[in-house]
Amino acid sequence: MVNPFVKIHNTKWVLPVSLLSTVLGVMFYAAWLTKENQNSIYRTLSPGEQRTYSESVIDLVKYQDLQSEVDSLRKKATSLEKALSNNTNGESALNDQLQDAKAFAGLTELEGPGIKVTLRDNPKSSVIGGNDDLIHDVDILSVANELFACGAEGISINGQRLVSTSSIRCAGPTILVDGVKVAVPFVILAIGKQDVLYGGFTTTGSIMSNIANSNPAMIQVTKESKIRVPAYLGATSLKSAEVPKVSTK
Amino acid sequence: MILIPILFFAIGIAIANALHLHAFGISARYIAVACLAGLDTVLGGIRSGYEGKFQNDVFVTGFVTNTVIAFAIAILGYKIGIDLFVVVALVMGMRIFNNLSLIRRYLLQGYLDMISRFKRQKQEADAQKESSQSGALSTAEGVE
Repeated sequence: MVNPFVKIHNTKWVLPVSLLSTVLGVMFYAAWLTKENQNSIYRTLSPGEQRTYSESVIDLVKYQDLQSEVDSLRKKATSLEKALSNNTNGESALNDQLQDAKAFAGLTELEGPGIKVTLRDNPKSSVIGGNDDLIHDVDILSVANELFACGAEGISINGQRLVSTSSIRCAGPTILVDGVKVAVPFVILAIGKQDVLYGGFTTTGSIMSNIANSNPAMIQVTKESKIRVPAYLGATSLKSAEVPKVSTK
Repeated sequence: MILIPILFFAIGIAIANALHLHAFGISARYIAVACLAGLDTVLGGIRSGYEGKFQNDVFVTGFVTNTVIAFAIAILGYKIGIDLFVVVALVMGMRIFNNLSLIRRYLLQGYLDMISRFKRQKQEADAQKESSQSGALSTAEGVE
């Protein structure tokens, strides 16, 4: 082999090699970070952009103001309806029916026995951080579906009441229930017959055992003798749909 | 000597860090392949420098075309549905190993040369000392 150290005093290679290795360093840095960020497009956004994206979904303070206003107005409407119905029997019967319909539609608070389901991300998640270690919108959705199937009469997710137009979807690191952000831990309250709800929800092969597969601590179910689910506070006016005047036979 | 490019590599990373250069999105895989090609060329440059065969124009054009070709092959593979970047990674990985082993041999040989040179110098110095001592002795004897 040639002994290179006889000629090594010739060092003209050092400068160009050094400059291009600077370029190489820049490229490596770029590739490195994007490799980490590859998992989700959402995470390739800078933290500031992430905040803008998730908060542009809703102006939280304004929303809470409006919500409390809706709540007080709905309560006032209920008391007015009751005051009206004090006059005659016919009106009181009408009012009873109205209140039943409102309770069913989720426009009033409900109280009763039920179960409480708490979902959280896997506390002992592995280094790789598999997909199963996180609670996804689909998990919440299927839990709510399962609870309705087990006879739940009213369900709330972190204080958001589920009604017939409710939606549950994913928005990056948080989950939107009716357009409102909810985050870990997810507390799902369901009113209904305790034993039926609990038994149905915890059967083997149910959604619960699916989620508890990676770590049983991810889902906890407790029976509660008395829980309250709040009223639905979103918009209720129908814009496109209307009740047909002539019923089909 | 080899430490200077490594130092500059670290400087490049620092510059990229300062500029927050990470919004490459989906092209991450292609950049990674281009990185491999660039790494191979830089190592090849160092090797040829040790061999004394370094040529500036060959090195710079090699760097640019290698990275661009690696990038293009990766994109082509993506477009036609074959993972061609694996091919680039394989070839470049082999060349990187080749270059690194040659650089290692040169460095090792330089180290051994250095040691033997020190030994020789020491021996020569010892021999000189002995001869001067004996000379001094002989002069002293002569004075007596």
